[in-house]
Amino acid sequence: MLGIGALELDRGPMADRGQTGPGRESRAGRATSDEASALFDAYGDRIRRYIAFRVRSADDADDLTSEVFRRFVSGPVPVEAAARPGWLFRVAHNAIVDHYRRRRFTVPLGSLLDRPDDAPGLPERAIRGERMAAVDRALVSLGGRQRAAIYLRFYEDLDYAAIATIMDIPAVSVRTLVHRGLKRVAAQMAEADR
Amino acid sequence: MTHDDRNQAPDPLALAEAVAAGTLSQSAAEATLRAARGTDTRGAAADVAELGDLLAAIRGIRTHAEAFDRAAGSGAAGGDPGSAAIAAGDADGDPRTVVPAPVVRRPVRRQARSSGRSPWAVPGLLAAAAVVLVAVVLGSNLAQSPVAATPSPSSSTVAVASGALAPSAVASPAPPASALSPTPAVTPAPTPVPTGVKGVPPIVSFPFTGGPSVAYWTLAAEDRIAVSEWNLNDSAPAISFTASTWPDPARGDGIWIDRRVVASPDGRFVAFAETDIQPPGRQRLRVFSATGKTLWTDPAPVGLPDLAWSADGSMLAIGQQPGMWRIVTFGAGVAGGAPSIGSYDLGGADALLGFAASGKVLYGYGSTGDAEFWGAPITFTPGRGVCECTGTVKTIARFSGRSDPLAVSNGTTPTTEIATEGSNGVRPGIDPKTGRVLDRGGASGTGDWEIRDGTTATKLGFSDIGSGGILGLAWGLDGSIVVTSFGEADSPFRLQTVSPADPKTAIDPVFTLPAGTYWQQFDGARDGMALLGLGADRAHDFLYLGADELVAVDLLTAQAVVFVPAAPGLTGVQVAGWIGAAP
Repeated sequence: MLGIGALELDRGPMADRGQTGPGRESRAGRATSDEASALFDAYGDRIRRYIAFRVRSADDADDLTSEVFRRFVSGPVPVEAAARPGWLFRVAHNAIVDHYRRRRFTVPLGSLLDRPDDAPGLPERAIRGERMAAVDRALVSLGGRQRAAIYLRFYEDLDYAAIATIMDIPAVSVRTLVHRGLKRVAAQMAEADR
Repeated sequence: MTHDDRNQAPDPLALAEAVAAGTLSQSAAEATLRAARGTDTRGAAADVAELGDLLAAIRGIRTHAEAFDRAAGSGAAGGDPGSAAIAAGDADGDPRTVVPAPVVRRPVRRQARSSGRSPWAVPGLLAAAAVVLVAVVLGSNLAQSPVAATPSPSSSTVAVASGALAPSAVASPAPPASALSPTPAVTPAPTPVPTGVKGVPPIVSFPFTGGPSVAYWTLAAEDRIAVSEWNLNDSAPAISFTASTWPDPARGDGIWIDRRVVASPDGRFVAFAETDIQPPGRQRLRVFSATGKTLWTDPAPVGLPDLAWSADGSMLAIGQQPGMWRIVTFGAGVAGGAPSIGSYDLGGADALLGFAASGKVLYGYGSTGDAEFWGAPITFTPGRGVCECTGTVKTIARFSGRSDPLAVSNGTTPTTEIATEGSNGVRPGIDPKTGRVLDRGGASGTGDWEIRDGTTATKLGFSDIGSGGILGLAWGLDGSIVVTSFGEADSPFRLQTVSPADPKTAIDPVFTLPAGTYWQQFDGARDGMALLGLGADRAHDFLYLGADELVAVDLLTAQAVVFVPAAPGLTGVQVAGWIGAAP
């Protein structure tokens, strides 16, 4: 079942997440500046890394990260602390989509999301060996949604239900994106080995 | 419930993740795969090889993640993916290649065309003049202005007009039609007329006297949707109403209210599902008459539901991926009392696709693992009677194109993934005549468009959407394929019909639009008509995901008719299904 409720990234098995309705109380409210500050300390790096993985420049990543936390302090947010990290990733994901929509206005949103991000690969000094270079090349070539799914799964270690809610697609579609992305990476690695 | 002949195959991805996380040994994972294959040693070897590929990729990505963290100046992340449950489901199909049969076209299509005076001539001219007038008044901000008003049920159809307002005609009879294609009945070409939508090129709008109509909706105000209908034959819209909706609690911060509006194919009913994905989360599903009377409110709504109407409009299937399926039967009359509801627990593994043409069977697919809708098809035969919660699930090898094919109908089911995303399902990916499926690459990850017939795949030779080029594909007439390609700042938009046997050669006149910075969407084809959505650049309005104008293109002649709604609302026009198309 696709979760539609608050994401809880820090506890509970996948099957327990994303449920709404009776017995699951969750509310929206305003964050205090102290809460926002604490959340930024706890998740600022993670949110920025996700954004940096998806966009071209460090400046863009900084701007979008600021925008995520601006939204956190200015808009309704989940009252439960446990729901807030997932909400932040959701807002970050929306901000990235918005970022690309601003830049690629001639194509529909769905197609836009399936195009490769503008994000660069690892800096050359960070690449150790041909296999990592192959992985890096493959990741750069992935469509935006595949890239997002791979990142949230293997860089953030989120489960599929949580990623589904962040990306607003069914969990089975997340699995498909991850599966296809891994196969593309594997193919690139195999080519590098030859 | 019974699952006939269902194979419980382990999911290589789940196994690979478990091995990578250290919760399962590689040898145990391989043994699981071999055991599942039984005597099929070749299949087992392929599964084991795939497991190895996935595992290598995961490990490579983990190493990359560590390097990425270091490069980003932080050492966080890492750890185990905690949800590597071993799920049952079909693996990817065998991408063998078959040679598709060439398309044999019918010599005559059902679409009648006026040879005399267009019934739209006068109202069309008036409407065009009104559009131009409004454009002049509002200037370049026309498309950007939020219009909190209900769209008029009367269309502002751009018809024939004189004057050299446009730089070029756009219905170009490009590659020569095949010998089997009828000669386009081209009337004296009128001059293309701008519609007043900023950036969208002028289009020659021909009069049509037949064809299906298109249901559409928009957000008329923050708390109100407007649903209406565009009749290609210029008759008055039968669907026209507004209904309340939950306003977006955080407008400007992304889309938090998911709205799904789907009209029944006969135009009698409109289903409207909305899901608030912000905490605490809430969902609502209502079915309205064509005039907006609330006929049914779902007592147990689910979030982000799959919806599918039967071809005759009498039944609405409601599903969730995966989970319970329900069928609501509305019967013959709008005022016929409360609808009957049957609920069916399919065991949580199957996702809904749509009704068979007979209405007696639902198609779906096993949704666990890496299965695509074409990879693990099922049929479901509901039990008889109201709330008789039984039924039969049967695994099938391929979708039927003969005995009881999937009806071409309206819904929100995953078959829409074959074309563009972002609006409701009017683009069936399964050819009802052959059961073959159009998809963009399958789980093998090549990203090339292909035709699936069961587990057999035939590559079409198109590049993936992800690499640019193809906007969307849909089944056209008689097994042909409608191909649309992006028009960007330096390349024209192109819509053409091809044969699967020769997918690079147009077999009918080609419809093109000039290059430019305007928004394009392909909404599929039905009854020999392709539907496009065009709009101005709204780079800064994230929620404006609909079109400013709709364009229906006759696939056999490349002639188009253009519809400009009186008020595109806050979201633009979003398609809610075809009305009156052949099932």
